Amino acid sequence: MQIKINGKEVKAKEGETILEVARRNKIYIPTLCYHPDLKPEGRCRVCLVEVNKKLVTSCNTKVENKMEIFTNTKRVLEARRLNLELLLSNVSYIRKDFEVAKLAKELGIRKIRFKKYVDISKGRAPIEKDNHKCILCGRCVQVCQNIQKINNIDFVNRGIFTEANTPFNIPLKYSPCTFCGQCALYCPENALRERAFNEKLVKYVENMDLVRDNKFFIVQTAPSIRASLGEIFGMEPGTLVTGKMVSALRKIGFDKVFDTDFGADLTIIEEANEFVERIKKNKNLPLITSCCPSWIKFAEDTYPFLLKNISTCKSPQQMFGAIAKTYYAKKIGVKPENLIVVSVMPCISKKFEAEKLEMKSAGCPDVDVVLTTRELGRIIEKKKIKFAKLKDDEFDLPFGLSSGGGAIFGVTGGVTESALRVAYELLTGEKLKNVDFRQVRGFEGIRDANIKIKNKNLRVAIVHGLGNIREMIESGRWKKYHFIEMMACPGGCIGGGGQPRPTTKEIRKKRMDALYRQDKNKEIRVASHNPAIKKIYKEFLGKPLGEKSKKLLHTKYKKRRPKYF
Amino acid sequence: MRKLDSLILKYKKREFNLLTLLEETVKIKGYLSFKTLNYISENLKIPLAKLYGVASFYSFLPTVKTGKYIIRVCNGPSCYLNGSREVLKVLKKELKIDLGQTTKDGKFTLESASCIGCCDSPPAIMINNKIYKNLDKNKIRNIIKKLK
Repeated sequence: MQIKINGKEVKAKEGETILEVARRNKIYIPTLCYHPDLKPEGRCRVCLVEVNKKLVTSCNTKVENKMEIFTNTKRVLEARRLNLELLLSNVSYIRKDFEVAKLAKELGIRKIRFKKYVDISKGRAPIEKDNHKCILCGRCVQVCQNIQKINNIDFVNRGIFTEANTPFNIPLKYSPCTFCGQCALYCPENALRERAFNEKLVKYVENMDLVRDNKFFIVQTAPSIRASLGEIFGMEPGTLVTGKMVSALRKIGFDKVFDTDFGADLTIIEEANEFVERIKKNKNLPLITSCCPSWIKFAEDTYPFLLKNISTCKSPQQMFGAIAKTYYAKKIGVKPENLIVVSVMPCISKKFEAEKLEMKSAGCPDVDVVLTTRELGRIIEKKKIKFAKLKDDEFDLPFGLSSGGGAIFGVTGGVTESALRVAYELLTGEKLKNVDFRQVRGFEGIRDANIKIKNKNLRVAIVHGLGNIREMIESGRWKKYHFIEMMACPGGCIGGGGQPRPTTKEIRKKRMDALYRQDKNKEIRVASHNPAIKKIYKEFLGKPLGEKSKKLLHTKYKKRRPKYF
Repeated sequence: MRKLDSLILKYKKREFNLLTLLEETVKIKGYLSFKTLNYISENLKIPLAKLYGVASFYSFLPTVKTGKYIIRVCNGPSCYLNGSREVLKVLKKELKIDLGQTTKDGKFTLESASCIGCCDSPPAIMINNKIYKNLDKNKIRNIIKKLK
């Protein structure tokens, strides 16, 4: 059989398709859904050619005698490109290294022209949204408006075009979003979720036993995830899984498993010293805590006049990272670049914090990868580790040793309580007999208490939930206090945006009880009594608020107006 | 901005309906830009997301720049059956724009609308707030010529 392709005479057998003949004669026709192993169906319509002034799919059209085929007329090329562009309207971006990306390059498509949805997560915000999964239940909108009162997302457009979105499609990174992640926590479809922090390194973490590259992996686990990680594997809310979590992390392949509680102890010593100093000078009071990155972003965005009141201490995660990359890396003889600090956090905003440019005390980021509780759960499931049957294990020394004061960092009121424990001893010079400050515990959005220390009446307040924080600041009540603890998520970190779903008020309370239980069972309950902390101040840091600790453990805040405003 | 300020001042004093505020803003500004809405949101303490949510819901509250005359072609069943497609075709040809676009000189914006309540005399279109009924090709051409 004789046919003509682009004017050239070509021999063909009966029953062959146009594509097969063309390929045999080295005439190029792009394909997408065609695969040599599968039956051609002509779905994607990228392999179009022109026959008798008609466009046909070459993958499943059989050749006929004296057929005249054109593979690269203007009409064909334009139709191919348009078809691929229309197909691409279903995706939010063109992933590199995949077949489609190659094809798009060939057909001259640089960006997606027909956008069904605009991706508000562009600009690498820690929260991403998959509009294809969204069922418009409106939970995220409600949380953002009624509980957190940030009012950053609402339903926009009408009818089939309705979506939960920011005004004018502003990317989240440039909007007043604080990345508290409550919208993701309430999402029933995983449409709103955390963005994988550093894809390359996360892959390392997932396959650590295979790829090493001289890297030394250490992990730190936040105080609150031990009370919630078990829920992913079907345990009762409020079960403490500290031991199982440590052995699961070892099974994943981490060289050392450490505890962020240590970082929390360090934070509280710096913060309590700062507090005592400010009280003595009576300057910049109230002192407002700084462990919550969402609250910091909220203050930087909306209430810059409060920045001088916020404690300059870094958060426990960053303190741990800074110490690990300087002190610990030197001690074990590993270059800071090769020491990979992974942190498991109940929080999405921690990803934002770890990416901040100023958080580089050894020339490289202090914390390399941040995983949320859910992400860790997913890795454990992927590795087929039977979590419930694991044996209990202990944290590694020296950073596995922590006090009860560090353990309760994860609940609202916990930071205040452990700061008071240290501050009491600093102010009076005596040993504290009863370490429980029951006045500051509870679950109301705004709580306050009067604490008497050595003839001095200290007024402290505890606020959790961004909506309550807003109320506190805008009513002007914040001026009355000496010390205010601010936590962006309801319940503190135990209700954080990266925690297992579902998280309800009851579950938060159960997790809270678990953390207080842990504190009660600890031998050391005041952070300054922790021998590992004493040792690090003796060997490395000098004294609290000293030169070295100011450099490594403290930071600065700046007014930050979202780019679009 | 001065007109907008006085409008905001007027609405600051009493409880109000969001829609009327936005409608009056459109009358002053022509459309609701990011700048305008942000200004309102900051001064009246209404979340920007809420303002945009409302504005994007109603087609009579444009959030992108529109022409001086907004032509809304009725797409209701009565007009549709009596040739609203033909009307649209003529308008597209006359103005050289597609649905949802604005002419280069910034005079005309072409939009479709659900029923505008003239089912007794179809096909009908609405230009700004004026309604034109019982249209045919020549009538449309005359209307456009007058406005040009």
